[in-house]
Amino acid sequence: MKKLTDQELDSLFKAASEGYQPAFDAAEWEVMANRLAQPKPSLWKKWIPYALVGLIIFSSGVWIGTTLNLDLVNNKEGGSMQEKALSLKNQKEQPITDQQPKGDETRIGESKHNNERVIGNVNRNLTDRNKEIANHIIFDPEIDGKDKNPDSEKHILPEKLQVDEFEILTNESPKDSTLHANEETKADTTKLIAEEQEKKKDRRLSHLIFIRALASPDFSAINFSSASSMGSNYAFLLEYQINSRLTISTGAIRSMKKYSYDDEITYSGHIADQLDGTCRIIDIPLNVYYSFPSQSKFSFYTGVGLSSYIMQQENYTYTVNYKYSSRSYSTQIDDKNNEWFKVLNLSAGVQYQLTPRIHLQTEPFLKTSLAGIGEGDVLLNSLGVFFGLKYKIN
Amino acid sequence: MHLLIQGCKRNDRDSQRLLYQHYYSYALSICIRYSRNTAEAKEVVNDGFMKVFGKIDQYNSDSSFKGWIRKIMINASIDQYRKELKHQQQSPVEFAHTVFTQPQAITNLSHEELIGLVQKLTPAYRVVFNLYVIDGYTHEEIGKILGISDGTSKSNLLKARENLRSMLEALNRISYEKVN
Repeated sequence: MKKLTDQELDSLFKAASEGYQPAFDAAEWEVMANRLAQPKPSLWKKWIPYALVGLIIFSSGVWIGTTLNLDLVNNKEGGSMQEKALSLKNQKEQPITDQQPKGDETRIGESKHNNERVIGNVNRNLTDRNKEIANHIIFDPEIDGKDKNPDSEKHILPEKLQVDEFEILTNESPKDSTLHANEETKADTTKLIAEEQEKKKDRRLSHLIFIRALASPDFSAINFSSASSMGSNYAFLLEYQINSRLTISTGAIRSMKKYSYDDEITYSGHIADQLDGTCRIIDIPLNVYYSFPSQSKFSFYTGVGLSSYIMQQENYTYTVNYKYSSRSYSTQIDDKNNEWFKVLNLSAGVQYQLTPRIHLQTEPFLKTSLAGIGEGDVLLNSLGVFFGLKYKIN
Repeated sequence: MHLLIQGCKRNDRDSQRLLYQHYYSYALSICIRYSRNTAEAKEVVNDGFMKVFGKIDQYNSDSSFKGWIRKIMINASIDQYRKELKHQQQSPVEFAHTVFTQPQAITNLSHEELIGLVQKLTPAYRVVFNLYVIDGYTHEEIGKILGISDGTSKSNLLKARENLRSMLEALNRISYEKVN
């Protein structure tokens, strides 16, 4: 048999290829339709167990927090206005505990010659006490959490009780003195209340600073391909409240991102069949958060912003497949690439007010590259859920 | 066709079905050359169509849709080749032991039987032969696609042709023996 030339051989198989017309297989469309009907595999599937663990931790925190908080309210604040009234009534029945020694009152009662001096003292005391009453009346745990010192309640006296005290001490023109004292006291109290309310309003609206300590699993991938392994994020953030709804936040997130890309990828000019990356990054986010109005201790918020990545260490292993084997190349880059504002942050979260100063937070997030990141210039995307605490520092 | 493509862009299932039906045979004729058998080729065709439907928004209507599908099917076949490389036992196939059950003269071989010979090549030879001879890629392009050197691509093509010749000769010899 005559040996075919390369050209003849190629022509033979080319013609076979062009002429080959396999029949349509209707069953294959059924397979295809099923595949089309299936949801696209995503990172979210891998999240579910971690999200459940996070939810359990968060729920436990909320439950413990609720229990503790109820105790605190009952023990320190008396909780409702009715409890406050009851507390005040009890105080009325009990001996007055003030800075002024009890012995002074007895002595005053015995010596009417000293009445005027004593009245002066008592008036001064009244003013001081009324300030404290005003503070107590407009006490707001959110603003004045630091005043929740049990000792401070020893100073709280009802206005009527103080007036009675005044009557006992003077014994002269009781009606006039009482009226005069009442008017002064009311005026002082009203003025103080107004001042405090004004201060409270100012403080509530702005200039609050929070610190946030959060941790999160990290699932990173190139172009939203499926994530291979889990990294981590540890965040320490500062938050400044612009007004009652908006806050800005920045800080540092120590991030370990692990990802794998099991497809052809051009990396540093090479064509690799697989890329595995592990990067240690300091993520500097600058985010704006919007808090949705809430009447309960739970509140929802959402955030958007940009992140800068300080790439501390990049480890890449890229694999090239050959005829009967594959070869892997590894490289490490230290402190070379800083990516400023190349990552878009999107997040939404829920927080629970554990105490007036402390909030528990859980915040799912998405970080998506707006441009190539790192030595490989890859479009890196990350998903995770932050869990942590927010603490009010002023 | 434009309407079908627009329908596919809207994820309309009927449009997808019609497009699939229309190009299935063409797609299978490409993928089957790169695969070991028809069953594997059908899987690759579906992988390719998943990409077609997923990336149809990226299709530029100025270029040929058939050409676009062809490129996607070739890429899907190369992806399959890479997977095959990772999982296969790395032992070259000895073509001397290939058994042909239907002895015929070369001129009488059907297109299907010739494609069957290509399928019997080792994956590395098969992919280079298909890319170079049938699909018109250069050795440089093949080297970039497969991550091999130009020389390796040329060498694989040479061996692929030799193996195909051997298979055709064996086929003819059996046919000759049967006739006599």
